[in-house]
Amino acid sequence: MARVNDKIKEEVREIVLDFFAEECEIDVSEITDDSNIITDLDGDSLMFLALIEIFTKKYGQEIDLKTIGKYSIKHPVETIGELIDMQLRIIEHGNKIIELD
Amino acid sequence: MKTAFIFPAFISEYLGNEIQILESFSSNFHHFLQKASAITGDDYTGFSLDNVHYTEDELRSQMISYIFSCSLSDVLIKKGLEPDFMAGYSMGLYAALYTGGAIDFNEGIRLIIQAFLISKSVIKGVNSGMGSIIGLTKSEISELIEKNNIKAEIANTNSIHSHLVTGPKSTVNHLLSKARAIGALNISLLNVSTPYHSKLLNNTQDEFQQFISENTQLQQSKYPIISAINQRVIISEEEIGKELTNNLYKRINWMETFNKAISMGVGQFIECGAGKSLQKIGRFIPGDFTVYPMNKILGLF
Repeated sequence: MARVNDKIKEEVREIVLDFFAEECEIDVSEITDDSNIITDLDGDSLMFLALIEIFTKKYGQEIDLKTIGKYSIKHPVETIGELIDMQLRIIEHGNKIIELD
Repeated sequence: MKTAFIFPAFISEYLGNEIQILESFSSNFHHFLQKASAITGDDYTGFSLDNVHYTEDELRSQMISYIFSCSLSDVLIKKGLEPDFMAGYSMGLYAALYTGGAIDFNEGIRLIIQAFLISKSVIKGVNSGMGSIIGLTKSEISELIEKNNIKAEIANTNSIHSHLVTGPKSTVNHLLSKARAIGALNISLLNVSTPYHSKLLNNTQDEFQQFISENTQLQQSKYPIISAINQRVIISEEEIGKELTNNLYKRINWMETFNKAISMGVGQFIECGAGKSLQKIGRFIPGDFTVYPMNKILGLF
């Protein structure tokens, strides 16, 4: 778990946007917080998994994927903004994310 | 650095410019569409990437995938890029065999049709399907199956946290919902009604074997093929014949197939087909390698 400060928020946003721009072969400027991952960007769940792996490595976390899966049942991710928020919550709370609300 | 050609099975998502890429290489694509039409009596010449008549129909979609793969591998080899190894993802095996000269184009078309028809006749009356589970390991899925006595099976391991499951549709749906409940990141039912790589297709073996021996002049493959079933390297006609029949009903392991190629020095995988599904899967397999989908191959020449 890590304390999420402005620097981390900025890093996460940058990594997420760059990742989708590369994967979806579009310019970063075309992606907004409201971009729907499936319908606007032709993204898929493997991208979500890839990003979780990128961030767990970057922040040295050991995450039980099933915990994220369970959390995402109640908090489904559809847009880039929601995805960034989810990643920040994972970084901040780790496996304890499931204890949030 | 060694090169492997890898062949997708069904195209779930097109890049959008596949036909233009092949046209820019003066490929056989349109010629192959005509040949497929002549052999099957089904018109493939009207194919376009957004025509659901081809993309949503299981057999036609498989045929189109084969045609894309054969067209692209022809182009690559003509331009001097030959594979050290090949591997077919599920029904991608047919295009690998064509590329290695083990079968000709027409034989591949007939094998695809026959495998499809025999599979359908064996499961007659059974509503079956396949699904995808992202976020659980093989042992977690196996445990779910065992604990809940679900009659579905794991069909393929794409990576540690990505699997395909197969079986009667109700059992696949049951497994998918159980998987989601215990924390799978994503589940989905695939647009495939044939339970490939399932025990339900055990009885295809004899009939398909007979069809192959009576209608196909199998040749040794010019390039070694890594079996997606057990990762042995196959070349001979006998081994290819066995692989063809086994490929319908035996579980495959794409992750291990990739690992085998990497262990033999492959650092460059060429996704010989439309879309980039195999590149996406490859992202989760550790190792020092690059997967090139069709729209990146220009950079190789």
